[in-house]
Amino acid sequence: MQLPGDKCKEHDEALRAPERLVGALKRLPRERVFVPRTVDDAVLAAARRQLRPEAKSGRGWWRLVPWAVGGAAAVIIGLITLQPGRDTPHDPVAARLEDLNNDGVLDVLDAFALAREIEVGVSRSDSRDMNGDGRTDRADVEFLLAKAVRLEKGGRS
Amino acid sequence: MTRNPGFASFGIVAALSLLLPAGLSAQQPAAEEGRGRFAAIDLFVDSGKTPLAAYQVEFMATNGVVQIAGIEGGEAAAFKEPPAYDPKAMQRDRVVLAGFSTSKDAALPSGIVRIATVHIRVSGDRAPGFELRLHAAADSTGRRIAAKATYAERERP
Repeated sequence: MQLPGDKCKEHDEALRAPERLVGALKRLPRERVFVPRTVDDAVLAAARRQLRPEAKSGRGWWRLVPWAVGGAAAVIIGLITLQPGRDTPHDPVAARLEDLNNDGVLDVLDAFALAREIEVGVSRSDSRDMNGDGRTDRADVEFLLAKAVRLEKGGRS
Repeated sequence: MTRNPGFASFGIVAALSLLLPAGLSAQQPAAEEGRGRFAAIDLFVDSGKTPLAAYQVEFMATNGVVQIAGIEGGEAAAFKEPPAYDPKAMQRDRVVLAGFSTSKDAALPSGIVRIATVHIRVSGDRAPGFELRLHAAADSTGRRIAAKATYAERERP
């Protein structure tokens, strides 16, 4: 079987330079061109300046800032848009405080219990301040009620 | 153009995150197109002889293309106001409803109580099916009571 490499090699061998070109190349002067050391050093220094990694100068780090800002913004927008954690705030302490009737479930009965406490005036403790506004009032009942009816994962639609 | 690639990527991601929800909402059922019919489903809780002070139910469509269009309060004075529900339930096919009254027993209804009415929009040819689950029912002291939840589609005039 003939490989592509073999074919290229045969092709290369078939190439022949014209006789005039071969002769002209042979007649070129063979002595080395003198380049002063100063010119050599100047070219070398210029090359070093051109090829020096920018990270060492400190400018490279700043070039990453737009990328970092863009990436952070993308993550924030993604979190806001997709809202993965909005429906699943599971703070055990808060959950325990909200479960007023201690039945292990946050439902309308907890809101009802708080409403009854507020109505008879027995609930003025900080532990009944569900929404964290510094007061225990009807707003805390509404807060519990809203949590009780919240659709955790949304409907089937 | 590629001087600040981070800002460019930020712009792309921001545009995508704005377009994505729009695209998803564009995939809502065909009810948006104007076809379909409206129906009203009355929800009842039968508390027997015990005055009903609080309830929580979950209503959902089990068949057909159904979108919840509105929630109405019940018949008895204690539950005349629309119940608590998650606004996200609108345009979906599932909702959790909760309501309570701190009134005295004498002012609370008993027996079969219409607690709420769910207005829906039905699309497509398939007949809709529904399910109603009772999460909780309680008397005026907040104690859980045995009760039964039922529903009935209101007849069109």
